[in-house]
Amino acid sequence: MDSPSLTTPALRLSGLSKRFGQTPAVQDLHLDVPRGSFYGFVGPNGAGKTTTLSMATGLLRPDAGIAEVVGIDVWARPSEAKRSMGVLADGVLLFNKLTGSQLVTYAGLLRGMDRETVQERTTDLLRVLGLEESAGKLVQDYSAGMTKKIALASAMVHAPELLVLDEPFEAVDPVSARTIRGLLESYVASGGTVILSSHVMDLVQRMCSHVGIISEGQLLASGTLQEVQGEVDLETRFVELVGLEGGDQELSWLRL
Amino acid sequence: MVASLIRLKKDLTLNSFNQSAWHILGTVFAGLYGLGIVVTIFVLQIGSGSPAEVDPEMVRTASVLMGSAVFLVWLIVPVFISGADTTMNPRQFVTYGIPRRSLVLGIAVTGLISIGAALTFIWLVGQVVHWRWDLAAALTAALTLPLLLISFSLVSQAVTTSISAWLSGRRSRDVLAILALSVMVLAYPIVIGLETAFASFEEALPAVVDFLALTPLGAGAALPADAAAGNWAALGLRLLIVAATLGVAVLVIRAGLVKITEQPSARGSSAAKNATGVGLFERFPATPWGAVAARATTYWLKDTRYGGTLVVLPALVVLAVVMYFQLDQPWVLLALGPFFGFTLGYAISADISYDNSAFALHVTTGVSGVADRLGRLVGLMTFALPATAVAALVPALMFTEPSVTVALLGVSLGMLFSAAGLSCLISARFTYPVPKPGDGPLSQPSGSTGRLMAVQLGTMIATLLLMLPELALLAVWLLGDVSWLVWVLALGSVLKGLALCWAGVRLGARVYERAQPELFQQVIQY
Repeated sequence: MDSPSLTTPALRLSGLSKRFGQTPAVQDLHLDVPRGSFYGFVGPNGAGKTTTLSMATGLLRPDAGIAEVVGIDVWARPSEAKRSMGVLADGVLLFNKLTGSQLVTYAGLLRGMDRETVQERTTDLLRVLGLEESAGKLVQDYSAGMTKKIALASAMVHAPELLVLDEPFEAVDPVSARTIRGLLESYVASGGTVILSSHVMDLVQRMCSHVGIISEGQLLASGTLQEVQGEVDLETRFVELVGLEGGDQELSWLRL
Repeated sequence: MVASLIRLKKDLTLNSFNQSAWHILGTVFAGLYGLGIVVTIFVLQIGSGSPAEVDPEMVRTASVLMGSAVFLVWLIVPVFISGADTTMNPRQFVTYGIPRRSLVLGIAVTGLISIGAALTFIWLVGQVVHWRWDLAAALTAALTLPLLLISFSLVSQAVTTSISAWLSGRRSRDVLAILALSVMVLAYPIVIGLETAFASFEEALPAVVDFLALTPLGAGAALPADAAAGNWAALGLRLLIVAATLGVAVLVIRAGLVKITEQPSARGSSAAKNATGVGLFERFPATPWGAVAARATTYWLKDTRYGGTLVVLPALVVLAVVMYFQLDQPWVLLALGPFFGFTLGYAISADISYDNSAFALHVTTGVSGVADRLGRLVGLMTFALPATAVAALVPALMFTEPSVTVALLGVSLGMLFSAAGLSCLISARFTYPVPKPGDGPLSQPSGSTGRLMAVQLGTMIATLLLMLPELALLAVWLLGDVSWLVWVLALGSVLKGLALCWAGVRLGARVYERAQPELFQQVIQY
């Protein structure tokens, strides 16, 4: 564990900042995702989760700051950094006129992998994710859960050291969620690193070893799950940090 | 309720201008263009209606033809823009439980708040001026003005509503739009056919006008003519036709709204075929560029937005053949080769815009600029190369000597390569809005029509400049009668095109790699 390469964080963000016009979206954000950790990145809607992860994955150029994947600067040496990283972006379309197996094959070939390996891994991924039956269906006919699963397969096909997943459980049914969770847990157990964003505290508390809480573009807390949640549970801690909205006011006319 | 709907339409329209300066510019241009046409017509209406030298038959013919054309425009336009973009799609109101009568009325009235309605209003006022030489006719024109305007709006809304209610499937809408486009392209052959049927166009005109005046298309516009002629029975009959049209439109809208709001259907998925294997990915090399080429070719086959841009090509072949038989001039057929070359080469100038946010996969996998550019170019060439060669060779072999055939083939392929090379750079540097994934090929891209027009105009000019050497050589060859120049022309054109492809891929790749995130952020907004 002492060799420098193993102590380099899988993902290190230092001083990341981004403004959209006059509005600061992310401000001077520092975050370390240790190797082998299962990192939950939580925050309310519009807190800057997707902006941060986009800057870490090469989708959005930061105004300032550095993003490093296993010690490689994403913005200085993009092609090397991207090799070590698998990405599931939120709110983006897939090439949905391809079939499920075509899409995963495409992702593998784009990464420069050879045909046999891609074919083998595509079959494995589709089997593990329960998509074998739908391998030949167009992705546009997939349900929300199936779409997330095929996107995840595309992100994992090159066996990256780090998986960056933006909202992997959004709009996913419990059965698919369990499948995804199982796959991610075995990936982490075998030495992989995952950072995922979510606003479902319960899920993060059950799955993650580390947590970072972001609100209004600033990191409010980060560390291991125990360090962040302290004596209470994650949701209570989260609401403490982020603050309630609307106080405890009631709607007088909404009493039936 | 109706007032609320009008306010909503007003707010939606104004808000759409806040999106970008390009959108305002596009709307202003479109508005000015329409205004130009309408003002020209208005001036003609003033002239032709001048009491001193009026020809009643002529005024009637012009009125009915114009009226039918306006009616057709109102009828056809919704077919093209009934994408997700229509601001007042009845489908949006499903959850509100608005009384049906208010909804029908509100939707009909809001249809009148548009540039098209304003232009139509000017034309209708022009009609009153057009008939000013006869008091009864002018009065009829003035009194029926609101009636006509409302009937246009209702008919248009009936089309929109029916498409939304019964043809909401992607495929049926694409088919409809392509059908409408084909009809428009084929209008010329149809006119030619009518002309041959009636010996001459002038002879056919009265029969056509009389026929149109008895259909919903021209009945409204023919009303003042009946008043001028004092033919009150005909006027009554035509009023009945207009009223029946209105009634049918309202019934259709009502039935459509009932279907939409009271029996909403889930968006059905197309009957899913389960293909085995990975299709074209097996046919192309297992490299990043090969994968991009396989994906591009798959999309050319499966995504109607891609094929839709090429629907004009077969239509042009038909048109050229008809024109050839009409004019007996082989050049209309010989022009097909270079034209195919340009259209096909230009077809990849928006390929990244077409990807929309799916382009994220290219960004996050770190695929190199050269692989991305080259793959899309190869994907296009798999079918563009043979198509252009056939389009150039078939007419040339039929009509010309071997030397011209060589020149034509060379210039056509050169055109294809040059335009494609230019597109490789354009699609990475100057993106423009296109229909979103899942929309039909002819649905309106949202916003930024101004940018679209600017990029297209720029591309045209750049292509023309790039083809100058060929034009110069062609001129020298034709004037100087130097036979060996044919080979210089043919080979030179192809080699220059290939060089442009190489340069386009190189430069495009450089832009792509330098500005990849910016490019991504730009195309996700389309």
